[in-house]
Amino acid sequence: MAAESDDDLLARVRAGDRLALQTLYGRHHVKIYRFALRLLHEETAAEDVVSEVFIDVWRGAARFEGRSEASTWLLAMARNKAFSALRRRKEDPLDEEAAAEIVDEGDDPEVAMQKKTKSERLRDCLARLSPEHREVIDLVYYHDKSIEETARIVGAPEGTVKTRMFHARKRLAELAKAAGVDRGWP
Amino acid sequence: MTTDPKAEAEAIEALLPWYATGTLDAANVRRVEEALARRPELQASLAVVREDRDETIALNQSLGAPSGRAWLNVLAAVEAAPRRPTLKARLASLVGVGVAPRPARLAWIGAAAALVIAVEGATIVSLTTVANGPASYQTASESPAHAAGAEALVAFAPDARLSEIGAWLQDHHATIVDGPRGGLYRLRIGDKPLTKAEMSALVANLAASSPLVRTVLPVGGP
Repeated sequence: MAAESDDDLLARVRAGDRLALQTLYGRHHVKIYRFALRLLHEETAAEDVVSEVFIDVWRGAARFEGRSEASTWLLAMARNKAFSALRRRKEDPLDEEAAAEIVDEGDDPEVAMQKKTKSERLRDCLARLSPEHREVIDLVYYHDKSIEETARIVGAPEGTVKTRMFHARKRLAELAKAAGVDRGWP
Repeated sequence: MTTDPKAEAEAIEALLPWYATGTLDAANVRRVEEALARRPELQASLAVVREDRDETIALNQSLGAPSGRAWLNVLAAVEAAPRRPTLKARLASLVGVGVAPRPARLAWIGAAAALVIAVEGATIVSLTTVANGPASYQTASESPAHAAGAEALVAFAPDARLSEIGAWLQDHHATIVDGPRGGLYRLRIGDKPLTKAEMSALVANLAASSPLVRTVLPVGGP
């Protein structure tokens, strides 16, 4: 039997079907969590984003117009919530999580980096990109989003998305080179 | 497409990530492939893109999954803001509750069972392997006195209300310490470890305790 489509599940959620909500959650919660965690660097905050997204789905599934994939709609909601959380965090200069992150990055990075494999170095560099660059890299490479879908999620024109992706790659290459991984690009 | 070679080269370079992930439309795929054939140096750029893609996937896959707290928050909100009952639910309510399984109820339970069965194997492994590790979720009522209790994996009926589950947990001196993962919650029951025979009896007792409970599996043992 073919699996029920996300659109069909959302139609059932609109009718008040909790099992459809649970199935939709089962399908998408891990990827939404990882997307939020990459932006927020904090597990509890990322879990809150997951909860809020699916609570919004329950309350407002009727707002889904079917013009994009359901996963694109869910990621766009997650993105808005994650960036709101980031803004709130910036407004609080004494945020302990942010302080912990700064301390982590100051741990003798040169020595630590020398001990790592190329793969580990690249992943460290991916983690050090700005949130705007991290999100576009993740949406394209991990979430398999097209130019159009990425533009919908980040709320920017397609041309801007292509430019942002190019700059994200360039920044990643710079960080990689500084970490001893020079791949001859750009 | 642009007639300026430099601008065209930049445009192709910008499309490579989507070409590498197979999410480019057919016209742009042709454009990129023609450029790759004309300019072999683009292959090096594409190799870097593919490496970045692979590391991004590996990094994301290493991030794990949210704890059961995320779903419990959703459930609590759903309970707090119930939707207007569907026609199916209204018809079911006219038939009566609990005397015999109704077709609509069976269909719901069947669908839920299929969902649970599909992921249960992996879930059981992941939940049991963390049985001795730190709990990622604890109810507010859990106290240190419960730390030595027996543990079991339990799946509740999909239409069980949060308040019903709460009452059942209280009746059986149980607390949720993890989940749901694949529909299974890891519960700590009582305040002392049990022998294998006591655990078997407890599992049988819990399984027969209420229509709310669909599946009970033991975790570990002394």
